[in-house]
Amino acid sequence: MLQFRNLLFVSIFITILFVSGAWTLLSEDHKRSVIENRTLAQMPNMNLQNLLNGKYAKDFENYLKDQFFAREYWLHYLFKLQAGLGFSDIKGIVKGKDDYLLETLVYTDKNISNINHNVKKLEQLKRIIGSDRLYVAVAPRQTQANQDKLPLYIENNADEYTDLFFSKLSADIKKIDLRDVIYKKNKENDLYFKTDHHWNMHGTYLAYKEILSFIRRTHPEVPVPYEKSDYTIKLGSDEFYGSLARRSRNVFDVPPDRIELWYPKNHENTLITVGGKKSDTYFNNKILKGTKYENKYNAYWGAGSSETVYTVPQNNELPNILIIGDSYSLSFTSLISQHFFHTHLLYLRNANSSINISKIIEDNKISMVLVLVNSNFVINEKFNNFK
Amino acid sequence: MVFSSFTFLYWFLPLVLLGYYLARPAFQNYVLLAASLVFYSWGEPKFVLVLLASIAGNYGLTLWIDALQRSDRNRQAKLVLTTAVLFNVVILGYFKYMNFFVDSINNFFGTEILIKKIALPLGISFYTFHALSYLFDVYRKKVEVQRNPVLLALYFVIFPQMIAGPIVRYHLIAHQLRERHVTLGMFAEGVKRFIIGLAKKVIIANNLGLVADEISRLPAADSTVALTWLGAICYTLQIYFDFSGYSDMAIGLARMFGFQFPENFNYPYISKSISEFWRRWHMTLGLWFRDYIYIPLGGNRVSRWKVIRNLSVVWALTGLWHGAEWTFVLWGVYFGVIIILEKFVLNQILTKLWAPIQHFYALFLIVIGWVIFRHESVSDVWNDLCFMFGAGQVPWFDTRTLYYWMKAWPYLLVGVIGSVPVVPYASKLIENVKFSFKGHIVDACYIVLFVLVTMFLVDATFNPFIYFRF
Repeated sequence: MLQFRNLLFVSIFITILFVSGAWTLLSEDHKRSVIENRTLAQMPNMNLQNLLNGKYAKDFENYLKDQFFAREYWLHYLFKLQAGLGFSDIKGIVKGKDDYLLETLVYTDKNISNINHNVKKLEQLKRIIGSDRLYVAVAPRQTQANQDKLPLYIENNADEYTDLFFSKLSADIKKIDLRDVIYKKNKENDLYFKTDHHWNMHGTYLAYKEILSFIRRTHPEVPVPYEKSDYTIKLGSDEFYGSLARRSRNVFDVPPDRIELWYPKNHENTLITVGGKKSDTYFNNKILKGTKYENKYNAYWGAGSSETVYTVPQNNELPNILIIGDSYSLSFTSLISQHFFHTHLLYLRNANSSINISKIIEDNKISMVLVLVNSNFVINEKFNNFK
Repeated sequence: MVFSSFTFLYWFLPLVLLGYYLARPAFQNYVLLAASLVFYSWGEPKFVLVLLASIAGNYGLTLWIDALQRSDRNRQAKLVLTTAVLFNVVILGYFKYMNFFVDSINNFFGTEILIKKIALPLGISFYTFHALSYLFDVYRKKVEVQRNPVLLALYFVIFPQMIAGPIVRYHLIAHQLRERHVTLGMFAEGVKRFIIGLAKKVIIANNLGLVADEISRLPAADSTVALTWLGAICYTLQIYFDFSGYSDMAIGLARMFGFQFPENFNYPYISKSISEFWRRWHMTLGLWFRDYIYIPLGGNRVSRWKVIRNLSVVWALTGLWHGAEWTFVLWGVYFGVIIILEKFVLNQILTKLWAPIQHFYALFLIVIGWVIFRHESVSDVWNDLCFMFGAGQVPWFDTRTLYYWMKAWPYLLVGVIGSVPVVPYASKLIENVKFSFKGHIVDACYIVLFVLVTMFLVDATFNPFIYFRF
């Protein structure tokens, strides 16, 4: 009996080892994880140099980990189990009040070096283009704007560091702090997605009005902001599981968000090129038809390239603007572009240090530059994507 | 290679098992040696040369010692032994202590001697101690000299224990290198032990380590008294589950190939004194020092002052063995002083106290010990201790502290339960319960645990082994 028991146990163990290993190595490799919105590690090339310097060993481990069979199921059930056992924090995400998924991001004085770096970089930018043409706007991040929805044991201290960032910028840079207006209105209306770290179109619209009004103080030739009634609002998708739901594999079981598409009047005439490729539609409709966990926020053009250009032919008398921004600027550009002739969007996630801002400004007759990023960017990341 | 990696679990281990059990018995040691060399070289191949040099040097020198002893030339044999010890000490000294030595000279004497940064070969402290063990055992004629270089190389590099122990003294394993038998029962036992170790490492140590690491990276201004204590407690549990988990995996794997390795841990955190703690923690290191340093120096059977001297030597060396930093020396001295005090003064008082107070005394000193151990500079140790005892001008508690406690509590709970002999106690209880399929249910629990470990590994972003750097 004991012998049979041992045989059965050892057989199951050995089978798990062999089947898992063989299945992983022999099955077709996945190129990309939709839910994580990233490319997965592929089988590394074996050569003597890689073997000797240890790179092959590291890459092979990453490959096995990324391509491990049924990887998504393992993760899903692990998070389910953790949530079921009462773990409140799954991959840095917690469920807050009103079904909001929120981040447990905490900033410390170690982030000050990033802030200093970013301030220095913006001061350099100011010297290139002149302070009268540069606007710097910082959007509060989703959790920052919804601190009242966080569980009692978590505090978000992004405000402290956003204040520090603004205080370090020299006085002549035109700063647009969006917090007051967003915090006030966010109490009345949801300005952010519940499952994603971005603002929704209502938040975007508020920021657009605020920033455009600010720009008009020095550039009165720019037309006044549109009213909400000037847009045709259509439902892009009612099944948007945002970054926070995807990262936690939606184990908190919150309902999906809605992606709204705000079509401005006369949008049909607008020409949009993403990375030099012309788009036929005002939004990326293809992505909206994607699978459940597709990142549908990318319906707002710009994530696919470092440079996206909106051209509104009837605005040929109006100035051109360059927006240097993170993902918060994607939805924003779809609104503000109607007030300029050319709107160039430099998307920081895809940009690299070879991008020459002076050349872009000169080549495209740019009249003003708007830097628009969320607070996490200036605190936690670095403007290293242009010179 | 790391045990808790996909490369090891789902690629290396199945292939080695296949190769080993398909090979004829006469070739099994060759398979194991080749596998061990691949295991060692994977990711850091250049240091395999240092390892091979150490094996070759020790092989030749012990044959020489044996030949001299056989022809009764004992003085020359002693001289060769000294040379062989120096050979090992010089290798270890160069790779592990050279930078430390030069930096210390520069600091103390204000000199500016410049040498390049010397990288530490993986497992050098462990295989050097294996080499010394072999030398002494041969010199003392406790064992026959090993004439087969493959078997000697296998003792040095056998993959379950070569990187982080247990330190297997040569005489314990000499006959197993030549001949061993694996039964299905032994293999199953080995698998279970391996799974336990893997779970300790991947589920408890990694997750507590993540919290301990995050807390230690916070700037001083963002710390609190309670948070520093949480960091220290998490690290205390992390290092135990990390290291004892590695030892369990090593013992389990060795059993799968027919070896019986000595135990390395025996619930150290239930100790009532520091002397007891060190009889339960990294037992094979303690026994190595006892056999090859403490007893040759005279051990306990000498005058009180000589015992103090002997203990001081052993503890200074224990500290230094762990790493080339002044904090490790301080850590060794710290435990040395406590053990000397316990031996001559405290034990008489402690044994009369209520048992929970004895446990508290030991645990408190152990946690403080780990605070010294984990930092690279004495000033960091001092800062942490100041914070922990309310002298660091930081608040006692804040929301962030609560957040980290909330994050750590499930693993702390499992860690605390796992640190006391609950499992053996529960096993005994289960043994007395009689119902059909009991054994299968227990086995199924091990399989579920293994699957759970895989789930954690798929998600793991933090997977270091603390003892790898020694």
